[in-house]
Amino acid sequence: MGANGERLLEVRGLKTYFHTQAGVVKAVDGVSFDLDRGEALAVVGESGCGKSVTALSILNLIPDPPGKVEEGEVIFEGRNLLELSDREIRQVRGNHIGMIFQDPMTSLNPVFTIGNQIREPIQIHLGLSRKEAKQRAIELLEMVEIPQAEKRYKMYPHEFSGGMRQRAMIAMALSCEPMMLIADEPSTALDVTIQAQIMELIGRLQREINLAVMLITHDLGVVAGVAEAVLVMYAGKVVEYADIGRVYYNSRHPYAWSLMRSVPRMDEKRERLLTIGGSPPSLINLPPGCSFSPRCPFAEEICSEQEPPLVEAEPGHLSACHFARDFERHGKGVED
Amino acid sequence: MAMLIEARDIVKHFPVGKGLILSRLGGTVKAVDGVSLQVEEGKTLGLVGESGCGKSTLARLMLRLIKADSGEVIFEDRDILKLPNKDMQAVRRSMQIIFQDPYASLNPRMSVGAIVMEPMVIHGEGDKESRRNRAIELISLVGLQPEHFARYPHEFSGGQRQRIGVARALALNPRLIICDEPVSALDVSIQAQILNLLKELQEDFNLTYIFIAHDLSVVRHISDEVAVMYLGKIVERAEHDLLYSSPKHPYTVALMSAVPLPDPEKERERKRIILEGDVPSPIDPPSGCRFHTRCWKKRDICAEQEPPLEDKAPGHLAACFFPENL
Repeated sequence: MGANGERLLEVRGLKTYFHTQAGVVKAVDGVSFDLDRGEALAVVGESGCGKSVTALSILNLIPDPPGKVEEGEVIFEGRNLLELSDREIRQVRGNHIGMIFQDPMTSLNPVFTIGNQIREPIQIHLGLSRKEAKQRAIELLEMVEIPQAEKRYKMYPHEFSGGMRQRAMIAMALSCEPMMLIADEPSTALDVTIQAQIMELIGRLQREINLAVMLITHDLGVVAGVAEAVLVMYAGKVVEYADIGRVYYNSRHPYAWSLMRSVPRMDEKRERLLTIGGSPPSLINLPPGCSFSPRCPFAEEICSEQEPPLVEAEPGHLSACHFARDFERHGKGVED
Repeated sequence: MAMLIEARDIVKHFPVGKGLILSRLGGTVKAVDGVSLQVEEGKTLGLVGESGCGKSTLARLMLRLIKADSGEVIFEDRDILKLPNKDMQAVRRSMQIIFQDPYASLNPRMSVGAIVMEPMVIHGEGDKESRRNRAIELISLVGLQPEHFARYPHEFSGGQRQRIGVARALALNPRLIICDEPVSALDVSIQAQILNLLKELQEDFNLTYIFIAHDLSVVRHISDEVAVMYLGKIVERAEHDLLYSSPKHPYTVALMSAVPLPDPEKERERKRIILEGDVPSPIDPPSGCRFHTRCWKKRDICAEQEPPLEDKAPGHLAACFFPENL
């Protein structure tokens, strides 16, 4: 919801479909959002909601076939990334946008040293000599707070713990000084004390080197301390998009609203958690009207007939609900 | 209230490096190293800790699914570790387990009905007809439809599969159920469904739970008492309100401070204790207090002597020389 910053990324009407034998999976179906320089955006949703596919589409990393970006624009610094040649997009990946994934072990090559894997992209992308690149790699390891960076440089991924591997991945993603980092569930596979370390690190980098961050997560807590704007996705679509305070304290979509009330919180004990009935729908066979309507506590007749458009529920607060503008009345009824 | 199950000083060390290449390395993983705890009938004990702290091993030791090196497990007034196998099988009716991964813990080649009836078959309960009726009853009880009886696990979502796991655990009317991270693998919107289901079943059947989790917020919601484990030892144990309102052990304090809150304002104001480094290896745990390598309050004594688990306040056990919140 870029308040006053300089626009870095604009995603417009992105549609990514997978053509499978069972039918067309509309993994991402008309997603739009913006990201400013130095801004942190959280993309929140459950498994299969399309949040990772959105990120992969931005970087042209969708395996084709079966996947295809059907429509939309991804404007990054004035260029549409979806129209770039393979050669040009390779320049963008790494040089301008870095990405880290949930499981660092599958992203690291087990037969090369950590140092080797960080040094190589620096040599290729920045054209530095081997020696200079090594120096730079060690600086990067220090920047992500890996102790004894020079010694660690020579070690293999299996000698690193999960948290250290994720730090090494962040160092690698930042090696060519990108303006933007996409972090896909960066702390989900880690223990909670290590998760706190990694989120702290990402927050610090965002502030210190003015890094724009797109944080993908299913955990509403993890992003609460870092993100400035939140994009809530459900079944391939954006259902709510606003700054974090509005989404967390004044949600205008029943999905985000119920999700906030259904997660157990450490700072309070509730006798019964509010539950969202059913489970997320199949993307091949979406329910008619609003995809969330079969599980929605507020659903009325119109919800299973017409798909609600994404509208401004209040200035700067988008919601795809028929009752977005009249939400309080509906919310109250269910809460009681 | 009567204690249903009590563990006394349980120890389990796993030898490592018996393979050809590692044969000279030797060493033992001190997975569970002298743990004692009790659970009252009808109550829930939450067992919390990071991966590798020994919480799942402890649960399996208490069910005698793996053999303890030493210690006692008193269940229904008998030390079940000393029972002959034949008597043990009768005890197993009363103790069941629900696993973390509902994809791995259900046999894909068995129908839901067969999965739920299997415990009854093993224990020779009823005849075919009564087992079938009981299974259908259980399937409805956990919130599935009777027509799901003939379906197979792959036709179900994660949350529904976990319900099948719950139905199977209930089949023999157990008194104790160990829930080993039953919601960690589930989607956020499904977790609350399973937590509420477990609570309702507990109220209806006076079940006793040992609820294992790495997540302090889930445990808070379901537990009466909470025990925190670190590297094979219990470092703190208390009734849940006491533990959450005034944690005594620095590890518990750090663990609580690391849990993110879905509340941006609180989250930004919070002073977070970020622990340095990782959990040390359980093969060669640190001397003295095992937490001293990561503790911000450590002094010389912490590396030399092991702090005993003792009352720091009424009903509040902690193993620390310099506890917090006194």
